[in-house]
Amino acid sequence: MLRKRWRVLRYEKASAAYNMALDEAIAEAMAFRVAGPTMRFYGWEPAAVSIGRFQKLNEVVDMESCKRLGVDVVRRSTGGGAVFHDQEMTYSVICPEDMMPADINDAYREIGGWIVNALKFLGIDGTFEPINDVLVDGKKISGSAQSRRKGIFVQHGTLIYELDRIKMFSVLKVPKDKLDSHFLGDPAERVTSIREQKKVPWEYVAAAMANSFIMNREWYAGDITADELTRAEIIAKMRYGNAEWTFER
Amino acid sequence: MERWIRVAGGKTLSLDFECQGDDVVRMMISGDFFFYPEEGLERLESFLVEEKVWRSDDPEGVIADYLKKNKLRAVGFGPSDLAFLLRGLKC
Repeated sequence: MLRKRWRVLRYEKASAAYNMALDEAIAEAMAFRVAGPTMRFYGWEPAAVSIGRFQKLNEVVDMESCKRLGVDVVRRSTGGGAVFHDQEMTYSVICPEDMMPADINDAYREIGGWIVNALKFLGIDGTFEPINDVLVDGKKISGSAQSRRKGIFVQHGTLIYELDRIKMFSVLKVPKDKLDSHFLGDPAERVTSIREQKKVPWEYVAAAMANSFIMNREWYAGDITADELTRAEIIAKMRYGNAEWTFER
Repeated sequence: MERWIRVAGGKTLSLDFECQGDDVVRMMISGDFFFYPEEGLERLESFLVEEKVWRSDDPEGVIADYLKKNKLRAVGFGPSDLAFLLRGLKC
């Protein structure tokens, strides 16, 4: 039962380092078979920029602006691009690898479909765009990143609720190659949010995401265990809150 | 020194290399791609330097073989993209 029944953690806001560390702590617990498949929905306090594992920090983040605006910076353990986390719903899906499609792209498509479905509940038409995005009217509203280690699948991603473009593009540097890429126009116009599409309250978005993710799955409302919490605090301190990791590239 | 390309699909792939005299002594691959397992990218970087893959007649084939043999998977770029950055590399 533990194997297939999803634990759904209650929504909470936390620091960037802790948010990343908790995914890792849960994945470790799962690898040791003391935790079952888990879904998290969470936010960021303070707002933060997360960068992909292989990105060069100074090329994609304006550190001065982050400092000035009180925006945290963290390097993820997953690949992908830099993301500004402010008014959004972030999710993590952590489970044994065999519960997800074996093919990486298929797994992105699978969870991308859950997000498209959540948008549908809100009356918004979204489409999955490979590799890892969900678009509305051709604009990005959600992005995800996935890892697979020790037989454990982790995918985390965002759904933008409200967008502060000025703040977003103060802290994110748009690489010059992206400026003249196949996308047209201002980079700030290539993203959108739930609120731009439909004036729905936050609670509706939270409910839509949760309902879509648990649809046709066995689940229960669970808590983080004391061991996971302790381990997350250690990982946050040793890795995600450590400048050596953040400035690795 | 740095070289970069935008890969079909929109991801960015960069290659930084460090020289000592005429020798490349270090390489760093960066960008917004995915690589599985993540730790494997550093091993690939070391392999490129040790094997001087840019001097190979078929860098794409060498990279593809290395990825296959070591069960590594790049998503967002392919061996041909990395080979493109390596070709004609000189200190």
